[in-house]
Amino acid sequence: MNEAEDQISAYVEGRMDAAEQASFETRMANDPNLADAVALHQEATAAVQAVAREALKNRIQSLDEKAPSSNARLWIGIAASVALLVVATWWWSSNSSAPPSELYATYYENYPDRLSTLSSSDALLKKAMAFYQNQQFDSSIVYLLQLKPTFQPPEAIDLYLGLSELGAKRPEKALLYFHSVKDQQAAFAEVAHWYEVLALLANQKNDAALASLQAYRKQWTYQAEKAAALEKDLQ
Amino acid sequence: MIKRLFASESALIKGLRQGGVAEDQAIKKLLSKHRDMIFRLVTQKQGSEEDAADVLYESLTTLVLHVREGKFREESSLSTYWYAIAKGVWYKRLRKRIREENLEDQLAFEEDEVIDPEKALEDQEARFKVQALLGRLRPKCREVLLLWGQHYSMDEIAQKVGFKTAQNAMNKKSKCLSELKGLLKQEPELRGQLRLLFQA
Repeated sequence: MNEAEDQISAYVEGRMDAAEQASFETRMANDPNLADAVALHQEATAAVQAVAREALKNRIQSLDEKAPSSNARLWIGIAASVALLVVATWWWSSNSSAPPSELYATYYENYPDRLSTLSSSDALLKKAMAFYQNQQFDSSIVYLLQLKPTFQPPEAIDLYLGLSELGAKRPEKALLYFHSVKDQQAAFAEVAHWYEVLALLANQKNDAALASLQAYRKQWTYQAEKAAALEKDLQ
Repeated sequence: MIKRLFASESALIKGLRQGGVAEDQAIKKLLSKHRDMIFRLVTQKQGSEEDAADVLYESLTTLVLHVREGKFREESSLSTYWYAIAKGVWYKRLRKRIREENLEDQLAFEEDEVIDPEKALEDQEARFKVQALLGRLRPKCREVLLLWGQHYSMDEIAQKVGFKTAQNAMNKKSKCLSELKGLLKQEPELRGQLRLLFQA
């Protein structure tokens, strides 16, 4: 690590004494580049701490033997597996897409592209996301599948594969992806869980959708108002 | 009695600092010993059981981080300190809820001994992006940064990840954080949100 970096990190992490700190702040006031480097270091630190905090909270929750939702979660897991089985059976027997239910049409909206800005140099990803945004889902799937073996984090690709399958009106395939993403990093899991509810709706599995939605609302806040309204509608 | 109490407190604190199995046991013990106390705090002040469970996990997360960071100075018992954090979490949420529902006259409640703990990203899009950014780092980098973000010492990080010395762990952390900064540079909007979080 070079000296400047070393000083920035000592400043941000509070490892300077009062005199060092004062002189560093004077330098910062006169040097916008240094001030920006400090800001970037602080923001990166905040990013790490936010994710680390979430990981720790999830671990604590998983260690709680009396977690009020653990029974509910188990039940949802069973309900979701049953729903998947029912869906799979139905899919094999009909091998065609069901018309989406009215509720699904009311609540579904295409999840925005939050990936391509993260890796602007990745041409494959750009193409995949351009097709996704144009709602040409069969094409976005082709490119996403090519990205899948190497892309970090892989669950981000799985999420968009699920979203593309749902957009292409194959909710049963989408459910398989959402199901696997739900066990992964929290921010992806949250989105996957919301779209799992919608995929169940698309399949007109309203009871399974309601059970999944209730578990969703206990844990997550994304689309909170919509989720509350949907629960009312389903009841 | 006092000696035994002290022994078990310091064992818990040691466990939380150590990580791994010892930490898991300390967390389980804290949960089983004090969950009723936190549940009562929330449910007696207008909260549901779901609210109580979330406050329980949120406040225990802060407690564990404060122990590792050295912010908990053992001037009070762990449970007293935890209670003050939980109060801070719940009152902040309750205040927000009351404000949203325009029930300003219910805002008066005593706020002594409250620790304001929350430094969590609430906006879902920002959380998604931050996790995706970290996800782009190599797994070892992510592991080192997340351990550092949970305030483990460099010695402990070296042990857990398999570096020979704390200095090696420190160098790796700096390198990984630089990589993250490189990715973050291309995200001005996200930087703005993280700035607010840092200042919170």
